[in-house]
Amino acid sequence: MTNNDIMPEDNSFKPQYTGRRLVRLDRTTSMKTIAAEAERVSLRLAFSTEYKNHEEDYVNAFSEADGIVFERFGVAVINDHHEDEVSELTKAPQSRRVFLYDEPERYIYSLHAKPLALTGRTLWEFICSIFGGRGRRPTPDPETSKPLPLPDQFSDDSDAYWGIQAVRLLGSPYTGKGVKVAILDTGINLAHPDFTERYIASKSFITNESVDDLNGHGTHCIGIAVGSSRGDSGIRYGVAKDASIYAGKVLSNAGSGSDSGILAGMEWAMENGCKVISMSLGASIRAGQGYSRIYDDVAKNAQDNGVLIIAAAGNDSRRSQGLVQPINHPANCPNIMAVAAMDRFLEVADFSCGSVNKEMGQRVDIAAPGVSIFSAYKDPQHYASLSGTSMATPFVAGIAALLWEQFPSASAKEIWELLKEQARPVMLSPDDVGSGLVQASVKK
Amino acid sequence: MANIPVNFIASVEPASRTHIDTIAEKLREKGCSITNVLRINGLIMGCSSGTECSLEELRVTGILHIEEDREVGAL
Repeated sequence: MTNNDIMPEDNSFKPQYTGRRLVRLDRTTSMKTIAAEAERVSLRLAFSTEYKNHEEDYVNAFSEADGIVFERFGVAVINDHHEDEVSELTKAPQSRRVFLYDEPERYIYSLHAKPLALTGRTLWEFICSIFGGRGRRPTPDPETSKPLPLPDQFSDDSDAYWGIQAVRLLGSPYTGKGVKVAILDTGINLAHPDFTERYIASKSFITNESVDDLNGHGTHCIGIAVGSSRGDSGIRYGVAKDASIYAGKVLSNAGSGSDSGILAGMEWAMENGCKVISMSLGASIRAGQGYSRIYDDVAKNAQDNGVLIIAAAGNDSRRSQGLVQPINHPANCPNIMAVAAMDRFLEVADFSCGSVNKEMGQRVDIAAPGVSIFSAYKDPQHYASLSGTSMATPFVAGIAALLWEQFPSASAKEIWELLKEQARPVMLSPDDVGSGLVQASVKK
Repeated sequence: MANIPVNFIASVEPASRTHIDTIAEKLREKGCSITNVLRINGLIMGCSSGTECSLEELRVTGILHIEEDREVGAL
């Protein structure tokens, strides 16, 4: 990833190359042919789809074979001491149309501003972390992982509502400019005065209902993610105020919808180039119940295509009565970022769902303000304060848009890691709040 | 679930996505009505005939996962 605003660390004393070779493969060639050509020069190749469950399996693959083929990337990583065989494959007439070219595998190091969570990692380790599911947690920077000297409680004031202060937005120079954000919900109040100057694309996936939001929930979530300031007072309530708004109505005015409509909305957002899809919706899950393989595959495909999907963890808990309920569908999918809610005292919200099914890969990833959150609303009220993990989710979506403005060439996985890495640590269980309270970047 | 039509969502194996219309047609031949085909993500939405004992009976060649189309609400 490149960004002119970021100066790289001085990595001159660190090794550049690992000794392995990266070989670009012709993607139209079958794996059988690739394996046969490699065998012709006595190279034994393993295939990543045979090792898709655990990162450790890839490590084993390198000891069991001479290299591994990542089919989806069209790349083979060949162990060291096989330079002659690689050279033969890329030069011989019968194989050079399959093994197109090769280059040394580099070590990759993080930059000052940490756009990449790749400290001291090789490219194949990075590829492994993608294939291995959630990817590994980046090594914490001792300087930035210390608790920040920030207030431990917040209140609304004349500049901003408490949630905006808590995510450190007022210190951020970023606005989400140029980033498309989709909010899949009950639609949008198109007549709302705070949105009249904004670019809005919209589509309804609800039969016999226009995108106009007669519920208010969708408008509220849009206001948090990509709104700006209250028109009559100038008090800030929205995060990514210059992002493009894509309002998909996948929930009816009564507040309900179906998986098929939501998936259609996700596809619409991807077709339109949205980088972030925010979904403040869900369905309850029992303890021990699995996640949807279909949503998870779609979320993985979205990530591979540079789209981050963020969803609400759910409101089923009653923590004050000792009841913590599992993360809702579809936020419980490992490839969807699950967002918990916090109050202005930085306690987890009483209703916020937790990582009850964590043994099945269903974890809270991050937390955001979600109690008494002010935002835009339907007519005639225009504004309302609401509580829920629904309100927390668009805070994370908005900050993801800010990060994409800051790092326009970042992958979805990198934005995911940055959100978690930048989160403010809080003295609560990761099962309840993941990496902590989402924070905006304050430096430019 | 015999004799009760069920709305479903089905995902198509990545290698079969170029044949997604053929797979949808196979589902129609099994009595399903198809309501939507999403090509970017390789998904088929529809409703079963209701004669199946399980949605798994609709897993024709090329279908990776098939799940009931659930109701979801605002949180």
